[in-house]
Amino acid sequence: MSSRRFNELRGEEVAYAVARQDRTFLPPEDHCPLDPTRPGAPVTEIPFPAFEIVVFDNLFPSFEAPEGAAEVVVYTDDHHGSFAALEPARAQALMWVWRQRYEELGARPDVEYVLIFENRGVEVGTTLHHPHGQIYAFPLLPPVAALELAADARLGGCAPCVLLERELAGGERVVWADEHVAAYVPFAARWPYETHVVMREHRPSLVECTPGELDSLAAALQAVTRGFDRLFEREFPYVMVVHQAPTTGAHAGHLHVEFYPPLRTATKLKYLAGCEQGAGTFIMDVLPEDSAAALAEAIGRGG
Amino acid sequence: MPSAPPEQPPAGDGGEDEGERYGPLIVRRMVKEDGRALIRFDRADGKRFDRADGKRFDRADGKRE
Repeated sequence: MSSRRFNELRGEEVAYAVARQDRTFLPPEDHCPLDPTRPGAPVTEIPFPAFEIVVFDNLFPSFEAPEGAAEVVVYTDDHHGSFAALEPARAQALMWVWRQRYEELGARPDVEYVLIFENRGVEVGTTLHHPHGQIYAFPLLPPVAALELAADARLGGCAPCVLLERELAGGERVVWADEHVAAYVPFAARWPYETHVVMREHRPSLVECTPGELDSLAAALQAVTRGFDRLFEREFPYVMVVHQAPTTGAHAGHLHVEFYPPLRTATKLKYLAGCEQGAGTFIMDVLPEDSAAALAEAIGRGG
Repeated sequence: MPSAPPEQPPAGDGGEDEGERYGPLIVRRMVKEDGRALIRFDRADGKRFDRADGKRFDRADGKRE
């Protein structure tokens, strides 16, 4: 059972889920719990010989009813590959899966915020290589979501709308765009190749998006992640987080997806060290304009 | 937020419900033997997604076609 403690010095909640200490850690391929269950073989987390997309309650939850939820989203029954390599129609369907889970979990009275994310690569803590993501339904408003609401207040309106307008006006950090979605390395990126994928129209969440917008979002996310993989010609680790409105009915927020990739070169990682952890100020080795140019070129190489 | 979540099937019965339409998908729910919920999302048109490599597991024996 998970629990929480309030850290007075930081003014934030800390979640304790001690059962996760024993969670499955980088198992051999033939023991992957996210594979389909083969006939005659031990039952995996998914008791079917084949499936399309599956969501299930995390065996090692960070949050659980009656105070939230933790779910696993398995993108495909194919053990190999990645979000970037999904067939486009499957990636489009995944947007609907995210939408359905946001809508259903957000309707629960114990849930204030739904966080959809993917950790890709051992560099960011992946413990299972099978293509998958996670969903945490928070029983509280987490600090980052609160900061985004504060940014709205500071900018006198929807902050992502204001920032998108600035990025599109300048254009030098934009790496991908279509009629519904734009992707850019933000002006004050905290990671070398941090990238934001933002809905052009004000959409608080996936629920307000049209089917065409969801298709565009899938295309943008795949364009960016494929560009990441081309950037250094290697599997590119990242944290991908879907930012949406809190589910408390306030209806503030603007759907966008943020990537936090830790690589600064093909072989060097950006670490959160003394200044970042002790002072909260990120020190960057590369300008966002330069990383945006490199990423845009890598995305463009895909045609 | 919209309506409350639908009723879950009985815990541990291992069976799936009939499913409900959600956009282009069919949502089928079951409760695993240990009581955890599992939801399958399939194409509403009954087809399967292609694989990135053009292969897929055969439903009968789990092997690649």
